[in-house]
Amino acid sequence: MSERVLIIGAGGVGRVVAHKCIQVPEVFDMICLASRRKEKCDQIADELEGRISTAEVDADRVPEVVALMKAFDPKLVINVALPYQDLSIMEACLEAGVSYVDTANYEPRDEAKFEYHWQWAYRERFEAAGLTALLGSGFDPGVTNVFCAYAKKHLFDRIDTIDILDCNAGDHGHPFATNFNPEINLREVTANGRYWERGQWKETDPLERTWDFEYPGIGVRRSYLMYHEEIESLCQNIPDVQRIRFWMTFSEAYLTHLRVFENVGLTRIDPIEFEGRSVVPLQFLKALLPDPGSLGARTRGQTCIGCLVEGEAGGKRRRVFIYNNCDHETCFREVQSQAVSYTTGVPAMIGAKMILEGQWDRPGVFNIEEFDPDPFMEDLNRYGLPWKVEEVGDLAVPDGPVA
Amino acid sequence: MGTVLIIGAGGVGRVVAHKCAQDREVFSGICLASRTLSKCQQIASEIDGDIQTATVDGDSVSSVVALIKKVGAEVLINVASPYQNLPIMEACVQTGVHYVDTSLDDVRDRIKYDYADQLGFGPRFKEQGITGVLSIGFDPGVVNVYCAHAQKHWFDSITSIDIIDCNGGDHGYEFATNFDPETNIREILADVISFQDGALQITKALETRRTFEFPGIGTREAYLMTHEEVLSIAEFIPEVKHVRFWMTFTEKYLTHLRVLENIGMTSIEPIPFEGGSIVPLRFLKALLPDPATLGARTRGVTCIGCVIEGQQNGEPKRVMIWNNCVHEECFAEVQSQAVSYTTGAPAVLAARLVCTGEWAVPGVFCPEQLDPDPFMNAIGEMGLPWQTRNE
Repeated sequence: MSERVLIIGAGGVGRVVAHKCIQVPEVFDMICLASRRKEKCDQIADELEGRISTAEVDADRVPEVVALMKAFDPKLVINVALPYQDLSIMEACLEAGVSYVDTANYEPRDEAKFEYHWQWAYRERFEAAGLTALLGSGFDPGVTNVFCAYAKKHLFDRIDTIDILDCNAGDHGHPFATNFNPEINLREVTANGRYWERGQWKETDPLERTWDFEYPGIGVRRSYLMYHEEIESLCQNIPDVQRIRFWMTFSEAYLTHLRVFENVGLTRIDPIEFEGRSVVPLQFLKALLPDPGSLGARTRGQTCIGCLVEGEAGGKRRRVFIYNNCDHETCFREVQSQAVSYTTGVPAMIGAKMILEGQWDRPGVFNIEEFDPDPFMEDLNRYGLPWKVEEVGDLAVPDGPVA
Repeated sequence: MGTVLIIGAGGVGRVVAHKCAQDREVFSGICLASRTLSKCQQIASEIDGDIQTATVDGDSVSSVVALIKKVGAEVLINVASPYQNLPIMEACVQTGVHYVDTSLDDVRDRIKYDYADQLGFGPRFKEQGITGVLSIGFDPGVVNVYCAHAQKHWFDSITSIDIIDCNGGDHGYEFATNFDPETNIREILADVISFQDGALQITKALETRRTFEFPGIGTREAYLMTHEEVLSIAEFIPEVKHVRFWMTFTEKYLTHLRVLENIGMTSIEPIPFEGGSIVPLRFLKALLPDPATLGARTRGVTCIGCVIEGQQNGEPKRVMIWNNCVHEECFAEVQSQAVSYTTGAPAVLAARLVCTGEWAVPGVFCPEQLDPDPFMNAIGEMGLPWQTRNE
């Protein structure tokens, strides 16, 4: 029996989720795609055939979301709107009796804080309401957490360390372009690195730790230790783990561009006087940079995201890399979005499917690694994100195993 | 002895006004004029003694003529926008006043530029019995005189001249330009014209570089660039085969420039923005530190000079001649850093030589066409002493 599903958010990820849900009619019945701007939803709906309606909703306003839920009556909502809106949508779910899936943790609007405690605070209420809330069902967080759960279940007796590695080797042919707000990009690379080791958080200077890691299908890329939200849940849900780090690649050219933007004041968000009017430099920078919407069609190359997991199995040391390669052009042909949106949207659909099929429908609020990884791992292979496990015992890892 | 009319009240205008005020025997009267009176008044307030100020439109011959007549000028020093050289020269011819400037007129199209328009005033200046000295800043200017001096005293024939320019100053900003960013950035990113093997050659911006040892600074990479003195020196120094201009940029400066170029920030094409339009390069200028504020915070030395090769008495010879100028010393003296100082001080010396008769040759000349001796004898006292070494 298939169910009605509400998707909130009509950006690149929303497009992928809508396309993917439509591809699985045995699970997803009618779909409603809603966002602040209905015309963006309509444009996506036009790319699809049947079973989809669209709506306008301000996801900051709980009553608006509740009203939409009551009108459409979905079993579940997939939230791929802004991370500021996670809590208001969760509130609406409780009021309307709808299960919940998202891909990124809640952030307060005025500060960059990636923490789960605001959402974890909803555990008892979801449990009491008999509803499931699945947090972080994108790729990272999301698939990477499931990789860890899979490693724990099938590959290791004990996991000691986890290094999550994320490389986007896509080339859009521009000297510089971004899918995101350049200010957020800059904040990302100027923030301190943070990782978890033996029960404690450890900090590094921004981009202080590097690792020239060889990504399958791509090659060696310099990767920088950064904080990423899945570390916070993994360190609670993977027993005995001694260290969890997250690494992301940036090209030298990308970093140079961001630094120059900052040096000349182009990332400033305070307006300056210019020719008789006031102009926010960051807004002007955005106007100069290529339109993010135009990047998908011209991006070539692959992403590689995976988990390097080390520990003990059958009394022996073992180290594996579990990963996925995703090709930008293939994604674009299938769903008119490139791999960054694809790798986030497909797992959101699969997470929703797990709940709707009754495999993950436990009442409460959960991070994805708390569920049985097996059906999710099967579906990754089935719906466009095949994974591999490689034994990499010989690889040199920065700082080695934790003593 | 006479009154000098200074047009232009930017950094160089400030230096020129200060320097003229130090030489009251020659410049008994000084009038500083520009489009913006307040800038002139600001400079006048820094200087002891009487300095008149006035408003003038340098694009308008009649505006300049009226002011020349009003102040009774004997010589005019033009350090305004280079786009205004021709109307100001016309005003000088009409009023019979000597003329001095520091850069070639209208170098907007740096591949087609030449001195023909300005030198074309020669017969009329001659007829009037007045002198025009063109482009007598540092480079162009002092370096042209260095070449004339070398030709007169050190060589039988010169085959090659490399003008080298290093600003070793540090203003403490990650990125800033020493003069108008619009002019500066366009100059650097323009195609390069040089004189090699007896002919003009065009190459790409920042494509050709060479390492030089700059006295007082050290070894630096310098890039082949277009500069107006290449053309006049190639024409007026007989038999010379190569004339090249090299300027140093730090890797950091070039990185900033390349990034800004990559994203279109150095473009002069307006782009639509919030219902209007904005020229990216102008907006960049608004973001960057005002060049006028750099003086007070710049530390370090400039080194500008010529490496000259040729023959004397049948022997090959190679000489370097240069000046070192210290930013903070300039600022202490005239409240401007060395880039403005090295441009303004030579212009004042040229005006003095014209007024005292040593360069009072009727006509219009590039600096290397005039007798270098009185200039070379006095430029040290003006604050820009020169040094040489045989290489």
